[in-house]
Amino acid sequence: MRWPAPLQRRLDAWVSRRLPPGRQVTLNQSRIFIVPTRQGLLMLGLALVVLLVAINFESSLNYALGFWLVAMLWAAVHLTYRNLSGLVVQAETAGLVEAGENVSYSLMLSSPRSRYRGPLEFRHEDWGQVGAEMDGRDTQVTLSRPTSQRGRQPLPRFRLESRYPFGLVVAWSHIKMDLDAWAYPKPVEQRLQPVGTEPEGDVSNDHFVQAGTEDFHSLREYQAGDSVHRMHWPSFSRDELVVKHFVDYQAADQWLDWHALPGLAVEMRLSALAWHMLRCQQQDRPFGLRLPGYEIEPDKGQRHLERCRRALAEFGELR
Amino acid sequence: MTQFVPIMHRVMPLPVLWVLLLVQGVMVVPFLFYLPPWLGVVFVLVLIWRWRVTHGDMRKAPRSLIVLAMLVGIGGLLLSGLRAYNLDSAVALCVLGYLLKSLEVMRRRDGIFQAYLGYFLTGIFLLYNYTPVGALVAIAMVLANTLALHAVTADQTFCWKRGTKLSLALMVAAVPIMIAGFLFFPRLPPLWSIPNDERGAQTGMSDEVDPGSVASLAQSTEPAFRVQFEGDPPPRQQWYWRGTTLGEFNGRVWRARFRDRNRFQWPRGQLPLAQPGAEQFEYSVLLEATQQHWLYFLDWPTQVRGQEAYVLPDGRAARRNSLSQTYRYEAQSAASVTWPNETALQWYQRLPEQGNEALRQWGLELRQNAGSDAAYIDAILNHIRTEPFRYTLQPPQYLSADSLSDFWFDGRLGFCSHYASAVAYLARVAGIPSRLVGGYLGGTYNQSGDFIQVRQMEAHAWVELWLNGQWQRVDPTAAVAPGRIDLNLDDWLSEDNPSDLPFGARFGRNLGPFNDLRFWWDSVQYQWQVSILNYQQSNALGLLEARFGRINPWHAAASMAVFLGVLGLLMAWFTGLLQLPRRQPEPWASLRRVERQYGNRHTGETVSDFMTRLAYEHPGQREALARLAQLIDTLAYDPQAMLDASRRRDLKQRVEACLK
Amino acid sequence: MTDIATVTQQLLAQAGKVVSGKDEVVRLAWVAILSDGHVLLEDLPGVGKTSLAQTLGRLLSLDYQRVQFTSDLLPADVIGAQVYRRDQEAFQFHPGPVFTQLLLADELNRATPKAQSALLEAMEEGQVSSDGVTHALPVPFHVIATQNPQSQAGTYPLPESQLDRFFMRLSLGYPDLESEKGLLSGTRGRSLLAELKPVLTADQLQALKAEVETVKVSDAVLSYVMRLVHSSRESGLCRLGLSPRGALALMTAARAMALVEGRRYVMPDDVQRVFPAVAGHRIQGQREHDTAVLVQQLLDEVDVIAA
Repeated sequence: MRWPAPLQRRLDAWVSRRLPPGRQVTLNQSRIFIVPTRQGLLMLGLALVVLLVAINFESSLNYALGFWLVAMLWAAVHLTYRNLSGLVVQAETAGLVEAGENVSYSLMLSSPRSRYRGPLEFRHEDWGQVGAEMDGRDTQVTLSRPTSQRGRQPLPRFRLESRYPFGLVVAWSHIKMDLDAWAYPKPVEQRLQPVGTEPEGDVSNDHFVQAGTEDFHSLREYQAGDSVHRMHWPSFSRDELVVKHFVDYQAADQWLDWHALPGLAVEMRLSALAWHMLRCQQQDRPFGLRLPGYEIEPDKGQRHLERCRRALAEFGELR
Repeated sequence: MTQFVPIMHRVMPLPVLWVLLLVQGVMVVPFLFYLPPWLGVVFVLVLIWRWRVTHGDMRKAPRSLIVLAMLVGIGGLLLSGLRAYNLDSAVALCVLGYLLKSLEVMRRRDGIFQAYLGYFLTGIFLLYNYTPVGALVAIAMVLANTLALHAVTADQTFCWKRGTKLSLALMVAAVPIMIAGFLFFPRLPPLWSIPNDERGAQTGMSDEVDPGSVASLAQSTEPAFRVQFEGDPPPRQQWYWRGTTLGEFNGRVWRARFRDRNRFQWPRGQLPLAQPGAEQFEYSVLLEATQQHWLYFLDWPTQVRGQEAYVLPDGRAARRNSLSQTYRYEAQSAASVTWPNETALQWYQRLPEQGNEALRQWGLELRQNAGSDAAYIDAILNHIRTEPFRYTLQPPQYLSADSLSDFWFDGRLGFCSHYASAVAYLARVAGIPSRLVGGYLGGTYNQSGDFIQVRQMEAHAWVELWLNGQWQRVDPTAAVAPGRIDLNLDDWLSEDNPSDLPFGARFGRNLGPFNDLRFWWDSVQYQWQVSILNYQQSNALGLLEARFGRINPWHAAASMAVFLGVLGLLMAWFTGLLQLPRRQPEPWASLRRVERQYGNRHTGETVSDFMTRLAYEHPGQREALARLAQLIDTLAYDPQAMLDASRRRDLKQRVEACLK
Repeated sequence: MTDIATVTQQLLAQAGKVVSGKDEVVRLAWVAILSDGHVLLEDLPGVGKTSLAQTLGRLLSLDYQRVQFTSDLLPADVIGAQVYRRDQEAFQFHPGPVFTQLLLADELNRATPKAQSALLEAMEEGQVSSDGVTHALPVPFHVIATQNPQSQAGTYPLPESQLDRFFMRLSLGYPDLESEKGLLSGTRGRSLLAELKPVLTADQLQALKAEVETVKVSDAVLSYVMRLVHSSRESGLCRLGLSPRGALALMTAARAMALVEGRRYVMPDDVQRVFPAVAGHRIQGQREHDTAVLVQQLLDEVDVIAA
């Protein structure tokens, strides 16, 4: 149902006030709303028709039937209310995904007393309807929704409803859980610029050198175009054309640094960092992440990757 | 992304379709007793189709098939001889629709529709069968439909055991409110009259009697009515229950003077009735639905009290609407009456010009030999006694134009109507005003229920003659079968001629326990009728009308709205949607008043913070507000000051002053 | 009987000479001492933490000791050690600085966890054990520990479970302009300390402490405290809610505050006044929120008057 915008705003505000968010929500009188469904109203209409039959045909038993139908509608309110009453919804975990993918949230439904509560429906436009059958003490529900942007993906206020067992009335509650999923940036390739303040590290492996100008590394045969300044003169005296080969040492652990991507917008930088992380992971190289005010020591492995991704996802949030 | 399927459009799973099929069976089978039998055939065909569906061929029946079935069905209805506009045909159509609709039940909406139609049909069924057994069947129907409703809602999670339990729980939980509604809701007169409100066949005495019609009634052991006397009932020989008075004879059929067909000729207004003698009987009658207008009385009626009961001058009482329901009325009869002057005697002397010449001659001859009218009648009865006339339930059919002569001279086998018809004819031949009375003779006294039950089998016809200025009862049956007067037909026949008895009446006649059971069941039914079916009508409504004036549809609608409203409020209160406003105690009430005047306190603000803020916003009130804060704080938090009434008064006065 | 409101006034007036412009902090510290609790002063160096501790010790005529916690401090340096007395040819317990009535533990978080826990154990149990012998600490025994902000280098932050043992965490903050002017212009400061006159004897202090228990708490206030505590645990703002010990401390502090204000019953205002100091170091936000913000949020969100 759509309301005019100002009314909708006030309604939303009212709902938020009445149903504040939490990690754990217990459904009670103040949170459960209950009204007859259209089907229930139809039942009422039907009961009226039966009563009309009773009046016009002077049929005593039809009076009884008519009132029975009305009373059943009334009794159905209790039965349906029971389904939600006392139900505890608890925020469990929420996922970490690449922006644009579907992220899932898992909730735990539990009830202080073991009781069959019938099928419950979780509704939100992002996921349509998700059903859960509650039989016994607890059950787990997974809701998923698409992400569009990097960052915090709070579980939106959703509607939990039950029409069980007769569909005559619908009991529902709007639930806002304090549960956030995170979306890390979509990897985009960008070159890293060297950053001056690399911490020293031991060079133990040629793997981590690249041609440069800083340190003498070895001698190699002259090739056309090599600078004369790099000639190894002692060898020249032995009639060998040899040049000095210089290298830059790269730290054994690669630091993915925020500052290594100057000139890019915030989101772009994060995307680039995500790309490099992924590459390091694929090449099985350790890497560290350095963001303004936050640092993750170099490491390898899926958990480390997740941790770094999480840091990217949370970047800019209140820490 | 998951798309959102509106609930009503969701396709139902197979187990639910099974439930719906079963429920349909429960609904339709009881109706087959009242409707043309070929509807059963339609049911079987539908069953076959649905069988296919429940075995995985999830297809709707094509529309053409449904239209075809509908046409065939309507044709069948017409061929079955149901009249175009009456309840029977409407119900038959409804049931047909119910059956055919199920051909395309696939989605939730259809399932709900089926269940709701089922509830409605339950109500319709109760119009046909309102016995205790019928009520049990109706309860089963309600259970079935509630189960269907549950199955449709439970969808994938449906389970028989749980479903039945929940359905029963719902029904049982609803019982108290149902009873309250049943007891306290005023019974209203029909909001509009139903044309052709006829359910099932007419029963009992009609306003036309040909010699064979009474004999066919005598085959039925169904109850016709039940009578309960205030005080002692009259002796058994006087149990002549009068129904129709038939004064017009066309040579074969006797007809009533005021007939159902031409009700416009009925006299209106109060008419002179027979004046009761000393010995009077007060009794109430519970009459089964006959679909006719005639009410039954002990001979002779003097007064009737009942809704829309109407007394006609030929010793009958009728009701404006036909009796489509069990009907209860109170009446008064006298053992002897004095009749007012009959103004239409010549009407009871008319005979057709032609026919039964032999009998006419015979009668004229006999009259000449007899000295007086009374002697003439005695001679006729004597003739019956002495000649080999026989009383039988299975007389030959006298079909010729001279049927009475054939009976009198040749057949000599007849039922009460034959004898009565012949005697009345003979009386008219001699110019004595005469008429046939159709009704019942005898009945069974039920000890446990203290009532007399009269069955259709007790149907009887006798003669009334105008002699010595009053109508006198003459029963020729007493001449041919004297035992019949003292015994019920079946008792009499089982001694005399058991083969005439219908099977049902013969069965178990001599088994003691069976008889006891029958009596018990009769009395259960009587109680059912009196306390359930005829609940109120006079009392509750009378009380209500006395207070509020005549009930009309608007009152009805208003009372229904009030009933539902109260129910709704109760519901809202129970579920916490509605909270009764509570009177706040001091000092909170005063605080609330201040808030109303100056705006609300913030959530985390203490009273003194709040007042300080207000004082800042309203510098003029600074001191008053500070004092208020102090008073409220002490009243709220100081256990010693809390109970101090003077402080409370002080606070109230100060708040008053502050708010001015 | 000593009138506590007058005592408080005198105390504040006297203390104001040394640590000016910090009435509320002094009052809270006074409340903590009345509640028989220990105080954690968390602040930058040089804002007068030590002065405050010394002032209180003097005004309340308590024996005063000071221990400067450093990274090489050993537990024995705090609680004392068995010393071999040659003349008696036996070991004798040589009590450490902890055997006093008011102990100033300066820069607690510079010491190693081992030394820290030696002190904290003494605070908790009111006794110390050395080589299997238990020695009771004097009564009253109060610790005022100071701590540099956590972020500083070379510190061993106190774990949450240890923080809970401090009744209150206070912070002085920079002095306001007026006080700083006075500070800079005059000869005030530590030299004044010697001139302070005690306002109470130790016995009177003990008597006042006993009175705290007699302050009445109405159901309305109890309900408010419970809702505050509950909210800190349930609302989702906090990762770590207020412990039952914290709740108890809150209640006691509110009582003492009421008493200090000269009332015999608690008002929600008292609860609100002590709440930041009592709860601030006992709760933790979901992320590294500033707990001061968090505490204020809790106070704002929980209705003072039950619906």
